[in-house]
Amino acid sequence: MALEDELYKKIKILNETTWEHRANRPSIDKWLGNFSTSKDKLHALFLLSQFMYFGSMQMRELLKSLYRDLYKYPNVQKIRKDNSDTLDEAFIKSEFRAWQNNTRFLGVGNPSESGTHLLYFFRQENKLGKNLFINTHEIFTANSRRTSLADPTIRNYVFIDDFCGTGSQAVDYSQSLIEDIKAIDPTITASYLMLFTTTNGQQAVISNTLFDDVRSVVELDSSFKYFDPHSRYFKSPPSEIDKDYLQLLCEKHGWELYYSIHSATDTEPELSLMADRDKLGFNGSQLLLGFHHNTPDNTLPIIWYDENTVDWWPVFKRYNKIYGL
Amino acid sequence: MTYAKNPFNVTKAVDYSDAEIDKFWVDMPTGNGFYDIVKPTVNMPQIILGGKGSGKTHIMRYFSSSLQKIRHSNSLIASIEHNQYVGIFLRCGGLNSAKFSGNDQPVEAWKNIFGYYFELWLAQLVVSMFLDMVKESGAKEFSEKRIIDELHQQFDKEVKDKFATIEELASYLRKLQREIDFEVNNCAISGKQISDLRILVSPGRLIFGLPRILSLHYPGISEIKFLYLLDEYENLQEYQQQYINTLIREREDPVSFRIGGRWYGIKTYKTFSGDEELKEGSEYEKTVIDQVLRDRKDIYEKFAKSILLKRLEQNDSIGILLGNDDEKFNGFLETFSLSGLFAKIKNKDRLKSQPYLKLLATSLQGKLDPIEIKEILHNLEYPKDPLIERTNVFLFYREWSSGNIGLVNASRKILAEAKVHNVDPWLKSNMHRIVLDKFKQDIIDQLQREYREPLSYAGIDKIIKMSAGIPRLFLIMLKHIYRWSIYNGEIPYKDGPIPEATQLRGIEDAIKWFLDDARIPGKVGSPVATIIDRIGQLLHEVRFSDAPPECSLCAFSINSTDISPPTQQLLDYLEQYSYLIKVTNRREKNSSVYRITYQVNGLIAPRWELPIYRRGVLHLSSKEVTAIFDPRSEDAFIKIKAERKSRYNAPFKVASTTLSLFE
Repeated sequence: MALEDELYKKIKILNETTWEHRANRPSIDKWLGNFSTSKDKLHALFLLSQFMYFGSMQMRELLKSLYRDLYKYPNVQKIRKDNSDTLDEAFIKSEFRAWQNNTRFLGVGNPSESGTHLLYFFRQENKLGKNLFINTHEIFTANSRRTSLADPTIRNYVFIDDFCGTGSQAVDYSQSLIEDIKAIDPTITASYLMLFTTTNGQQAVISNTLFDDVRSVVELDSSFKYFDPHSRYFKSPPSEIDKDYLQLLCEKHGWELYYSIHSATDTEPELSLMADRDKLGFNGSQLLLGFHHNTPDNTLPIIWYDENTVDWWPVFKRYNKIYGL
Repeated sequence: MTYAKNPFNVTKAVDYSDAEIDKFWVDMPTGNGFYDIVKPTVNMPQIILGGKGSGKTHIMRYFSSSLQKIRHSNSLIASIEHNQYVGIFLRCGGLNSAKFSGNDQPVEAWKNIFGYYFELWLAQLVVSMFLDMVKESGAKEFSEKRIIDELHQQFDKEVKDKFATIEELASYLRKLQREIDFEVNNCAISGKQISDLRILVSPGRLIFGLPRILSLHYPGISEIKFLYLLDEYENLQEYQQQYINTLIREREDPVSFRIGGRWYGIKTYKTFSGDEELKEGSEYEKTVIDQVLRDRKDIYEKFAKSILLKRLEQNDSIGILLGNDDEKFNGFLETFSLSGLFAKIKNKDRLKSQPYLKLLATSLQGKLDPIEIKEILHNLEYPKDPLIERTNVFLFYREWSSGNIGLVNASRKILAEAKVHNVDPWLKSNMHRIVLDKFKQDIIDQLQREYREPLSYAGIDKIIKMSAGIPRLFLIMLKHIYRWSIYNGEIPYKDGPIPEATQLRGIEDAIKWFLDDARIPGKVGSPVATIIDRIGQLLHEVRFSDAPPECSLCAFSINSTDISPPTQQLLDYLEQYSYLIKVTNRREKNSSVYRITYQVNGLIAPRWELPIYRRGVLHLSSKEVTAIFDPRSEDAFIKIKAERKSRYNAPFKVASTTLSLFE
């Protein structure tokens, strides 16, 4: 069977099983229409056949895992350890309940962003009370003389995010926030728990914030960087596929696409530099994944670009943030 | 994103609930349909056999009491009064029959224990059905005490203190069965002898006695038939089948049996009456369900189309139906059109056009003068109709292989005949008409192949034909076609016919499924796969040769004397797993030797680009049979294949080894 046929067939199965029917043949063909030659199209098809997609069901399972494996179990372990490895189930339950009641879960970003959007499902899947969730503005209370914590009985703040690519957003968002909390009461713990993170992104958050605990359900190491020398995507590529050719192809189109995105906020010479930096995904992330609710900008832009400036048809479109009005 | 649910997703009756069995039931569109096969009120036991997916389980379950009840507004009593029978359905697979053997226990003990266990199981099903009926009837009066008194008598031991009501009988039977389960499941661990178990009922005392007593003492059921529907007979061991065969032989009123199983699943017809076999015609009747459906082409076509419509209707997947049957179904699934093929050919690159003429020119090079070759090619050209042009080439190869006239003259003759055919395509003596009568599909397929277009297996009629009388194969094809159609962004069955290309992708997946599903387990699986592939390859080579000896070649025949025991074993497997379908078993003229013809199953025919409609048969020589059916020797097969190729391809060399007079 010709490679093209094989790839279409593989994508059909992905589409039926994990992609939630998001990319049928016409939409794939429309996306391939972005590329000019048959060689380009074949390479693009190969790339698409490796796209990792996490649908609604998988996201919900990951949210369960986040609560269970990154929050509940570590705290249960801690309770046991602090109490001579007790096996008293009733005691552990009551202690954990108390711990949880002194915890507040928050989303990362403003209420319209994905981190906060996920909180609703996080609460549903883990059957948690509404009172355990607050907005960041509810952390503090301010009177004329000083800022203090709105509820001093809260000992743990858990920030939840869907994805951390380079860590820059998490750092920008939480750096001063956590510093402020710690400045008021250094014994309060703050955690940053994510569904997905790149190894570098996680490291950036650890290094640049005062979070006590930074962890994720899925960690994407350098093998998930599409064109990395250790890339998992080119372990044994078909003979028709040329990695360097594909990289140049992605860079060429990616540059043009990111140039158009940055042109809304930047001017030359920064504009070209930014496009150069991001042509393979934000800050050179080179990822190839998408979620039910959105595709991160760390993914190769040829997959998701859906702006008006360049005539480009996305296959897993990204609902881009519009900063300002 | 929302997407339509595939109406063909479920293809196995065991996966259906009772309500779904009823919902998706489609009767055979002749006489009283499947009623005429099952004959539920007739005393004579029936053995209903069929290939995997032929619909046996669906049929057996349809005649069971739970389905009878559904068909009569949830009233078992109304259904019994109306039908005059009650079906007691048992899936033999559920008996876990394999546990009744081995573990260093005496064979005789296993026989007795299995018989007893089977008796208890069926009795429970009857009691459960009866309790259902009593519950429904409410205040209907009957003497439970008389029933219980007589049932006590059916046991070989005093059991008066064990049950006093039908409800208690149900519990008692369940308890006895659980005791057996416990002892049998643990005998390998406990080291206890199975023969220590005590049997409280002689064979048949409950199976026949219970229905007899109930019908005697419960009003309104004295005339009804208690029909034991035993499905998946192939799951029983030989001695277990022998036990049930004995019950069939010794059947007592008001009971009868319907046995369902794979047609190779009957391991024995022997009974325990001196090892005598059951006699077909006097002790049982046999129906091979897929054979019935295959033999009645028209009936099967209607049946399959009804299945398709039913699935679409139940799933709200159907658009507005207009026109007669042909228009309606062709509106669902695009069919092949010659004009469509011509249009594709017309769009081909000039360098890729008329590939058969280019091949012919190569074959003639060095054999004739270039001027002669040029004239031949010119004479055979007929650009306005690629089918006639390809027929010209076909006829030319035939003339060449016969060696009767010079090749230039042959081409002139063909040119003249083509002109006649153009004017009067129906002239019976015209050589184009004669050859197209038989070889039209082969020539079209050659044309498609040479132009690198996929052969067409699309359209409702072809899909039905390919399913070879096995409804599951039909549904599997429809299921995969639907999946491809959705993937391709179409709205199947609602918005225009599903294109040929989509159908072909679905059929490819169905073939893959079939080859996985029908993979023969164990050591024999690999050689069988080799043999079917060789058969396919050989038929393919001959079919697509320059001058094929037979038209529509998807069948071969073997002389019965050439069938050694190992070959017979391989043929049996190929037939049992539906790779091959036995077509005829005819005696040769003036001979006591039989020639057996097999056809490659239509569903897998596309794998080797074979036709699905059979006309010609490739007669295999002794040497060919030996070469094909010896999986260890690839060389011998390559040799016989090469011999066939050189025989039917230009320059038509005579095979190096000539066939003997009797081959």
